[in-house]
Amino acid sequence: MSRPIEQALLDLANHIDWPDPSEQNADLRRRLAVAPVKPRRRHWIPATALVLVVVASLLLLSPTAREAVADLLGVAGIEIRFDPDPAQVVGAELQLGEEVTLEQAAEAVDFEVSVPGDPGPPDAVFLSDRPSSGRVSMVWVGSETLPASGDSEIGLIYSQFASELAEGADFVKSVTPDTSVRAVEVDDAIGLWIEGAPHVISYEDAAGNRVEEETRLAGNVLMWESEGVTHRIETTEGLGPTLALAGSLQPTG
Amino acid sequence: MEGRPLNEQDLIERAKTGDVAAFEALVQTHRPIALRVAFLVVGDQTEAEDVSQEALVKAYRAISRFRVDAPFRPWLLRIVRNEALNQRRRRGRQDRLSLRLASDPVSGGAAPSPETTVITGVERRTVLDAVSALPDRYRDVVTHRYLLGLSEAETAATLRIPVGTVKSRTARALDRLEAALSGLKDGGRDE
Repeated sequence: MSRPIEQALLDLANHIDWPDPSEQNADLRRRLAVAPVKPRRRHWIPATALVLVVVASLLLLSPTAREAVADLLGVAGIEIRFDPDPAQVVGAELQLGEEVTLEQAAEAVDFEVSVPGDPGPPDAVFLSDRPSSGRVSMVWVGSETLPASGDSEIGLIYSQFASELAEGADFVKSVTPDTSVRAVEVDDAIGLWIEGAPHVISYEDAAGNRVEEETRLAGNVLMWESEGVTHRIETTEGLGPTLALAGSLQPTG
Repeated sequence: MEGRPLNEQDLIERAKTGDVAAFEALVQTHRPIALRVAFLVVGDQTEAEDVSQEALVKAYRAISRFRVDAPFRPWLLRIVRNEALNQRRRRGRQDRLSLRLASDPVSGGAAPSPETTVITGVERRTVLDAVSALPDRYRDVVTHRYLLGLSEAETAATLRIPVGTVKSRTARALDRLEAALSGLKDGGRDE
């Protein structure tokens, strides 16, 4: 609290005509008594199995790793099932952040949020604070026109975040020889089309946090920057349909 | 009977089982700030009381979904703010900050620091007007950070925005306030 304006604001806080807390209604208890606590959904899972389910869901995206775990578990004599929780939000297991509405997401970040014109409204929207200026991710369930990734029900993930790289920071690409990376033109900007095996891209954001971009679907990724916003589309589709999708982006509101 | 006082975690655990008294004890210390959070949105004492009480009832009904390892206060304040925003939407009134200066200084606070003693009532009104004139997204972070005294993390959780956004908006809001106030001092020159 060093700036004079901050001192002035703290001083102001002590001189606001705040509502008097002593006048708060006293009948809270009566109202609480008739408002039963909603019971928590109970899943009966033995502790060991629970841990294994967590591990399995983390490995959801890699079939090889999943088989490896399943094999291991087979040895241990434990059966493991990969049942998605039907009550769960679409894409919740992808760790894209907190589920929000499109309006809340647009309100929360400083950049203008775009939506693709093509596949209709997203099935879920997530907001995360990595990078620190916020990231909005939209998820679509796979359909006939938008094939789901073999490992999930998700057909498309579109993320956007302010391109606030740290001073002098550069992208560190960690890709295997099975991944191809090529430069493509997206909407007058140069983008990267990354195809093939899963990959990780990491960089430092403006707040100095290292952000790791990894593929969440076993799919292809198109990344490009436009007017200070980095866009990233992860899809099972090829380059052509993905470029068309990128071209259909419209600002919300 | 237990010999030690119940801490927040104990109270949350009890409230999760439907213990009304535990929930009341849990929210007691947070009721004044909950009222202020609601007041910032709806701008009316009676309405703010109704909203914050309704929010407490909703929080009680939802407490089984609260994660024990998460901070409780921002979780509660977020529910209060949502309820207040819904109330304001229902009534359809314009979004204006309706804070007023108290006629008497708030008593019971710490002794005023040398910096604060030199701030006059007129200057306070000028600062308040400048805060009121900020765009919503900047005003929200300023009121929550400085007028309510919430931390950056609590502000982020209450406003449902990332911490990085709180930081960047706070910095920009302070710049705007400084510019507005220096403009006034320089004879009303506007940006």
